[in-house]
Amino acid sequence: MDWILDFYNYRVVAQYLPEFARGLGSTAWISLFALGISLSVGTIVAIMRMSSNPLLWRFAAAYIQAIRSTPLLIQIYLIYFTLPALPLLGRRLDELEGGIIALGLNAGAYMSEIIRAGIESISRGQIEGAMSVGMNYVKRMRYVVLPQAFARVAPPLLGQTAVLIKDSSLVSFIGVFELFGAGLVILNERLMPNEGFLTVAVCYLFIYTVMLWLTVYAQRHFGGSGD
Amino acid sequence: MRRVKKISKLLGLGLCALGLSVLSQSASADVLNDIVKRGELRVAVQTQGPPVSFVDKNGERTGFAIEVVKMMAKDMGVELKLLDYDWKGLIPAVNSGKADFLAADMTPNAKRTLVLSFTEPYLYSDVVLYSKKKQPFQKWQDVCKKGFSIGVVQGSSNVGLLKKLCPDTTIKEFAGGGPAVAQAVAADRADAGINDIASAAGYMVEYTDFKILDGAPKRWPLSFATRPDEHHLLRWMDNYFMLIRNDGRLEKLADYWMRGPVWKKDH
Repeated sequence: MDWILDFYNYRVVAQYLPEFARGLGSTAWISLFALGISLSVGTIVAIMRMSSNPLLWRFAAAYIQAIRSTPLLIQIYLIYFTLPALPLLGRRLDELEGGIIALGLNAGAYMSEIIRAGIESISRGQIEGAMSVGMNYVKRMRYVVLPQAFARVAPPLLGQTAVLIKDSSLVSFIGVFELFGAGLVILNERLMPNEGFLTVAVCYLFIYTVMLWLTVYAQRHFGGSGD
Repeated sequence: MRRVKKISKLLGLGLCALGLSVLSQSASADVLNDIVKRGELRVAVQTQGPPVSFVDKNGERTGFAIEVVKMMAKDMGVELKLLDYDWKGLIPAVNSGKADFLAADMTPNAKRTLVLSFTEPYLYSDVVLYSKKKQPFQKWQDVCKKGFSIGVVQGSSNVGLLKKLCPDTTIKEFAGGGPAVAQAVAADRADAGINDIASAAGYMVEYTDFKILDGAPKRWPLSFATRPDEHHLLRWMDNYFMLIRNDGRLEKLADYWMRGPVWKKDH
């Protein structure tokens, strides 16, 4: 095992396992909350985008364009540094809240376009069928369109989620400790970049693999065959 | 199972690539020979901001550490090639042989010295805390209390220092260097910031509503560093620092860059 120790000293990594566990947990939680926000925002914006009401779809289109045309780091900085105290909250967002919301809003714009594609791919006959059994708009969406749409676009949504998880390392710029920060601790204390960043990479791979399994499971369980 | 195999294959490929990069490290007996032969000194630097290493308003790379290195190359009689890296890239740059040594305001400690060989310190730099003028703080100990927050550059030596000095204070680690921390203090996201006195003095000019708190909790030694086996180069650098300390050139540079905002007029 000597050759491994030469470029990856797992004994040193073992000393920093608590840091990595903390970072992994932090990244997982941040990503999970941001994913929740982005899927909700994405669904709402996708439906707004397809509305015939110009106020609604223009607003949705503007939101999507604004998010996609500016860097995520700028969005994080804007929410963290320039947003004043929120009236409902009575204070400013802290690092974690600001970071999660920025990530969620950012991913939401991308998710909404994917979800819209999914919704538009559902054939007209499905909707007419639902109408003929007396379902209103909300029920049609809830029971017929959205479940099929989500099952169909699960793979691109997973891809976007992977981007979201990796992007979550940007919240370290506003002082949130996460996985990447744990890697930096090894680099800074021991000057061992391999040990720091390889471990970080493996942890990201681990999160992604878990996500992949969950998606495959969810697709089988909820999605049916899709057609 | 198939997916697991695929992943382990991918990992294996990654490891092979790493192994290759380890093998391809330059293996010269004495890098000083190489420097003279190629007529070029290659130095890894980072752009952590004034006054140590930055790009001035004329677009030229300068700062205390940079000027020391420029002097070094001139006295060696070789050209100087500055390789700009992020802090994370400095160590790989030196270890892979791309750079002969790294010139940053890096602080040696027992564990870091296991990986790189550090020169004798070329300068000692005081660490200070700074805050907005409206804050009720006088000396740095005033911030060291529960309920206050101090901003610090993520992963800098000051993180460990703060954790030891002020265990009850909220410590906010900002990626993005000293300017990011100053920005956080300016936006009331941290009650105070911590940095070396020279950088803090720079912020005082930029942010007129800032003040430096009395007292210095620590004095860090600043060193250059090279690969552990470059004994000759290390001795050469130590010797060089001794020489320029004795003929007053180091003091002159330190006075200009590190002990006041004089340099701001020219850069």
